[in-house]
Amino acid sequence: MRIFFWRSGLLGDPRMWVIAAIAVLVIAWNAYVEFNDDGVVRGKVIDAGGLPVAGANVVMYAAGTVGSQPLRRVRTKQDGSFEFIGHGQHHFRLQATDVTNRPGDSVDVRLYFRNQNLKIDLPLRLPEATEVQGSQDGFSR
Amino acid sequence: MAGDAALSRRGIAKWLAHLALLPASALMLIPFYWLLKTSLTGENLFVYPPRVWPDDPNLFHFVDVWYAVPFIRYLWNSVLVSALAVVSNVVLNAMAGYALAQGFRGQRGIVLLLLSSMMIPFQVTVVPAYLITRELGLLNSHLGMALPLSSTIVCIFLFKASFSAIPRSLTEAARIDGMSEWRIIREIHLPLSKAAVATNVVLAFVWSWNSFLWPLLVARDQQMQTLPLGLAAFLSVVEDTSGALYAFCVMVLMPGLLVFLMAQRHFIAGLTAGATKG
Repeated sequence: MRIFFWRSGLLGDPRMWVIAAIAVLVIAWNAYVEFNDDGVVRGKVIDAGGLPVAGANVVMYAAGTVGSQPLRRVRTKQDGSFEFIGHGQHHFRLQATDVTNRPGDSVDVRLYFRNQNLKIDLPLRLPEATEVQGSQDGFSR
Repeated sequence: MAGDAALSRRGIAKWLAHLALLPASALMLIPFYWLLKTSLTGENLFVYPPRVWPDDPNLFHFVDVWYAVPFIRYLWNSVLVSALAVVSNVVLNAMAGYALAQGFRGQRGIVLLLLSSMMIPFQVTVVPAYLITRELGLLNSHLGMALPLSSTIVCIFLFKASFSAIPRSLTEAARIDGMSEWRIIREIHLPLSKAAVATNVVLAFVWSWNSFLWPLLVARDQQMQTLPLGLAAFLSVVEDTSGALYAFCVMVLMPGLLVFLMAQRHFIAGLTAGATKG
């Protein structure tokens, strides 16, 4: 096969190398997507003092040209961390609220492909005087 | 010594010519740069004062387009229609160019007819072309979309000019050796006219790739739309002048640009040959 390409002059043609480079990029990108599209988004919620907040709500909103609508909501664990699995989006907004539904930080998240895994480095901060008292937030579960 | 001075003068003249051409090239490239910059930043095209350098460039608008429209389907339609147009162009134009280069009774009349046909804009013949395509049952098909671009008169003359430059003795020797006319075109004329073939490929590709009016008439459903039609539909939905729209424009432009860059040496040689011969 190699001899065929060499004899036919295709290997010496820079245009073939351009096409080959594009093909390699496409294959590499698809392989990367294949291994990173579980839709896992991880992050953390902290209070005004920087301490992790357990039981806070994090809501995922769809973002885009058609407006913003709530998609999913999760509650933070004891260490203040939260996790969405299989979100199926490439552009969304995360909003943290405390148990009384007072909004905290929100973050606009844009991804390079749908369902991309992501760890949000910057924690979502809740407003001051947050008290976690179990499920009094009015959200149905 | 005098030769060295002449060489030096020629070198300086070349540098000066390039110095003059550089800002001219930059001026031509500004719209493309602005398009690319807007697609990477999403800033409004009419923002004042305009920013020359992109602020926080990213590819997210391209991602938005990818998921907002059936891009792969549009791309496939465009590629298929362009491939059909390119292949039929090279085959039919080479045949016509060969006939004109060989000469035949009534050739002058045919040439005049072809030249006069070039004066008629496509918009004038679009209704009969549509009716013929409908009679052939090719509406809403790739072949139907490629049909009006399957042969172009400009490229027929391009092949005629290129084939006329090949010595007749070569063609006659091939005939004496028993080669058929088809084989003479395929194995002698076409390999000796690479520049004309490349020019025809680039022109046919760009024309069919950018074609809007004809696919708009022929394509009946969204699944048959080509990229320019998808772009127009996207513009009517998005209704803004930033980000995703320009990313879509870049995505539509890229394949044509790539084809041109890959064949530009032959393309320019072909156009120059067409301008000076025949």
